[in-house]
Amino acid sequence: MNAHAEAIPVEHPAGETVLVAQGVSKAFNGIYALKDVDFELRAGEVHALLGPNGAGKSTLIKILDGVQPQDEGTVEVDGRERSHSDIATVFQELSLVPCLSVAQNIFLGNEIRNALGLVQKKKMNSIAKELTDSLGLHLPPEELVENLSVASRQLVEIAKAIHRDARVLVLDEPTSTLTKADQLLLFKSIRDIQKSGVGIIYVTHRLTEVFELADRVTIIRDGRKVLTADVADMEMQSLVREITGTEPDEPGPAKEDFDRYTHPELTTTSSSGPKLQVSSLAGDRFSNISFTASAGQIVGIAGLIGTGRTELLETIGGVRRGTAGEITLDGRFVRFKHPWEALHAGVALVPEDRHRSGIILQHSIQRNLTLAHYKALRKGGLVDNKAARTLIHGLVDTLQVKTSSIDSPVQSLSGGNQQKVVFAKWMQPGMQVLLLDEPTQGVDVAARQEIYRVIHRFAEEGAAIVVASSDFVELQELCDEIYFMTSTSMSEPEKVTSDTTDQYIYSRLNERVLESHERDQY
Amino acid sequence: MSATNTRFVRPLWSGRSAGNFIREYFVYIALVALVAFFSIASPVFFSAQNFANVGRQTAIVSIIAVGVTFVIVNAQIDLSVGSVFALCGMVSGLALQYISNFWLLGALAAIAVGVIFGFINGLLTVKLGVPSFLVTLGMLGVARGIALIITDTRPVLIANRPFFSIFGDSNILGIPIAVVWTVVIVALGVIILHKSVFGLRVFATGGNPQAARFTGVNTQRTIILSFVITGGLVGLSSLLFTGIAHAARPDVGVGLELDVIAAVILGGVSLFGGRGTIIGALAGSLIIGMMNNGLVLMGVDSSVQQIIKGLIIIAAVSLSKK
Repeated sequence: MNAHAEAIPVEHPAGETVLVAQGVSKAFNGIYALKDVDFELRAGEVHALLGPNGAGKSTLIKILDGVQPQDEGTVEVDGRERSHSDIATVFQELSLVPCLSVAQNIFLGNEIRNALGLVQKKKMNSIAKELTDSLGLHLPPEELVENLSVASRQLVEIAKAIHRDARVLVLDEPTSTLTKADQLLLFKSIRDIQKSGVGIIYVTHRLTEVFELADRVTIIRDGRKVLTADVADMEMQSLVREITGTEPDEPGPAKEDFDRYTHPELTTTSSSGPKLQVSSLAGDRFSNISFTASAGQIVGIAGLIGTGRTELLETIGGVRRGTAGEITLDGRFVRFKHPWEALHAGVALVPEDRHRSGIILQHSIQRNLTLAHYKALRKGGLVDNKAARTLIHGLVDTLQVKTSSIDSPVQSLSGGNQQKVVFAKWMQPGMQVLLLDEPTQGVDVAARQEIYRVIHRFAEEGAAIVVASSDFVELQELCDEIYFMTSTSMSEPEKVTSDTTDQYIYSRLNERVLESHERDQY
Repeated sequence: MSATNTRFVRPLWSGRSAGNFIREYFVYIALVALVAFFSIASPVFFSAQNFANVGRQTAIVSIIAVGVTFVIVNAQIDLSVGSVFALCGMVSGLALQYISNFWLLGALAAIAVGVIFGFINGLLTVKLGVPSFLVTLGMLGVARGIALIITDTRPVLIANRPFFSIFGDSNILGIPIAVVWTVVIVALGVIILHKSVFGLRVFATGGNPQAARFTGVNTQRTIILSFVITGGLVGLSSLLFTGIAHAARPDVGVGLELDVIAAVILGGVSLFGGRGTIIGALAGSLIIGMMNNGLVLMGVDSSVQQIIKGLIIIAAVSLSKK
């Protein structure tokens, strides 16, 4: 280790240490978020940073980036104390200005000026174009960022980072909103950047990506470093074990706990026909979509981003209006104009964007859950507070939501626990259909398994479940049947078997996209 | 079960520092400080008689503040209350004069006008998607204009003894009737906002309208109802004015909306919605009322009073945000 490297610009062959953090600690209100963490990054490596939600990953990258000061410890880049320009971080919440162009964003705060101090737009545009092209993002530099897809925005962020000549690039869950195709594009870009000698810190919850991309891995849990190892020396099982600190497949809570909070009549679903039937439905960004879901069945919808999966679920759930087609629930035609009409009929939507649509972050768990369960809790027009607390304590226990109190604001919970609260909202009598849009986005491995268990229980209780996900591993793991969706067609259902791998799903989807292209052309 | 759940706790948010404490209870601390200050500055301030005065003078702001708290917790605003206040009084006075001099008719007329304007405010806000700031700014002009036109700017005299007793100058157990009305409305406000399903929906709609909608809340109805509640309370408080003045005037209530909004914000209700209490808004109203009263007792010139009031509001709101 050359911690005393000279303070002059040096060449950076791969393998040389770029960044060293030693003994980093950080406390909030006297509680350690990070305790004595060491971290080291080499030039040209992809170093995966893993850990459960709330482990301190975000705090660590914020300290490395310099956004947040550490309480103790040092962070050095090339043997000097790191300066802000050494490290570029692409946070989950992208920090681009939507109403500015791609080029303007890349050069924000760093504009090229002429002698008069005026901005040289042409020069900036041509440099920006070169940069984005090199990342495989072919678009005009004058394009406004607000018109770009999430994946493209992410690449613009990366371009911005590269442009600043950073020594270290930090990517915080970059694939959580990407489809497989976009993900492949991103990985290709990462490998290119890697070759230029930049060290890359890669935070993710998707462990398959670690094996695809990373050279080394560091795991932190409860604010402490658990290990740093070469990925080649790790296996999936051991990775899961180290992250969760437990053996995989810990038994869940007893099923009786759950039954207490749901209604017996749900289990006696009499109809043999499909619970939910969608025929030739059309709406925003999709058309000609048909599928069915029976009681107790978990049906997956695989589609690339932009095919209208979210819009489809939102149309069924009454958030959007359909333009054509029919929806039947237990054989009766329904057309929900508002979400509350859908909920009244027992159709609940768990939205993709939890923070925007799923939950009220600054409100307590109790307030969020009482809002959804008010039917069981109202006495006159008032809320029966005692009954509410009993019910909600029960739900929190059943779903194993980790919280100090049901009065804690939801924002104090980790992502996985927040999502459990969203599910707890719909654990109520009369739930017929659950529409799940990216049910485990931003949720760590351990919590993901628990959420799968919750979903299976909804199915066991007789609800029909529709899952739309861009995580094809998830579809394979969770679903009984999968439909392949393009924006203008839906396939016949396919039973999920061990052959239905994420690669298989991906290639089937691409076939369908090509087919529908040809159909549209002739 | 819950014991095992608590072992993962990382109470980053539960730590309650002194700063938090001050922020949360700022309005009450400020209220006590203000009482102490005026008690020292003016010998007549600290007396039962004067407190009854403050209560009476504050009733109008306090009662409207209860309604506006619903509106602001919904992440909306109502700038029209001052003008609607004048119009409610005028219509009530005219109804008593020209239709029937029965006190209940006058009362219902005022409240009905308030409810109608509240409904229009709410409806335009949710159906046209125009921010309530602009809708109610427009209605501020409309209501004031109508109030001035209907009698060609002349006041309307009221001569109805039961009306005066119920809304104006009587006492119950030595407590001015206006204070009794305030207590009743505040109590109802607390129950509806903090204990009812509707109140929960108001908080949800203001806290995150999209999530509220996805949870089955009819956010449009919630917003409209909050404006309707405010309108009804504006109508009621206009009666408290005409009951004392024995006349309705078309030029009253100018700038009333600013006193009310300042009171509500002082009381810790977030302008961004989703947070606040009725009791806080009451305390804020009392601060505004006490400032009016105390500055008069100290013999401060009315123009200077305005300046002091403005500065204190800015200072207090910025402190309560810290």
